[in-house]
Amino acid sequence: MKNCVAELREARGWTKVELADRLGISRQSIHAIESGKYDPSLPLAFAIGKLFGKPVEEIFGEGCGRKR
Amino acid sequence: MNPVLLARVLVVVFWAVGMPLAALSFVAIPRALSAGPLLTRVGWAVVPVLGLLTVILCIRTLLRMDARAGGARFDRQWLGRYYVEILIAFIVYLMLSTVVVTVAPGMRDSGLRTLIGLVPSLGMALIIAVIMRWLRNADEYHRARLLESFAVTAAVTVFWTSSYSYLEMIGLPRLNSFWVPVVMTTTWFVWSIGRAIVGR
Repeated sequence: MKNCVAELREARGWTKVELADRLGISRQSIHAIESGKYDPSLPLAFAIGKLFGKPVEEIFGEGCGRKR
Repeated sequence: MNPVLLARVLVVVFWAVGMPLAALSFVAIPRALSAGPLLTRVGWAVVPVLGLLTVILCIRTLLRMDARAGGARFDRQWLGRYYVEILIAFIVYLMLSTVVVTVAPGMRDSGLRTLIGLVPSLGMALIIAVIMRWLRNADEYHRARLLESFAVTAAVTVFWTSSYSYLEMIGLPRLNSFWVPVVMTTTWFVWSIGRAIVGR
């Protein structure tokens, strides 16, 4: 699934490790999500949305990049 | 050496040398302790030692490199703890196996001998408990990948063992069931490397 996690992370000047630490997951998971190899579960998607202060639909899927 | 290249080399050495040798210990230890030419027994005894040393060295270096590079907290806690626990569990298993293979054959009471023969299963139960804890503590991405690996490994091991059972029926040499963990580890290694190559 298309997502804009990488763009949001870079806009805040965070590394993948920093984002992983903030979400309490591994760096490999962040890499897999950003590259579209892995679609996170609903709880993780909501945690990502909460961290970036955006609704899930603006971060994942076709909504990505529209309302930023 | 470039740290990224060194890390990749260490991961390959861990999976291609350390883990197969460690898995081969299930076969090597009983052979090292059984009767036979001294040189052959020493050769079998080298297998678990070399396997454990390779595994410890790879893990230690990778964890130190990760700490220096400022790896994610989760990776350090999850993997660091797991590697220490699995190593301890494996050493306990090897020690129990060694004691049983040395002591059990000389015992006269068949009931007690059977009971003592089951002692290494306690070590194996410890290994299973560590793996279950590892799986439970994994984040969702790693849990999904691990479950996929477990499923493939189990399916391929069933395929190999059942296929070879038919070959045994038509005259191929009978193999000890200690070969099963060797087949499982090899399958896990081939699957992990294959997945890394195709970029999944």
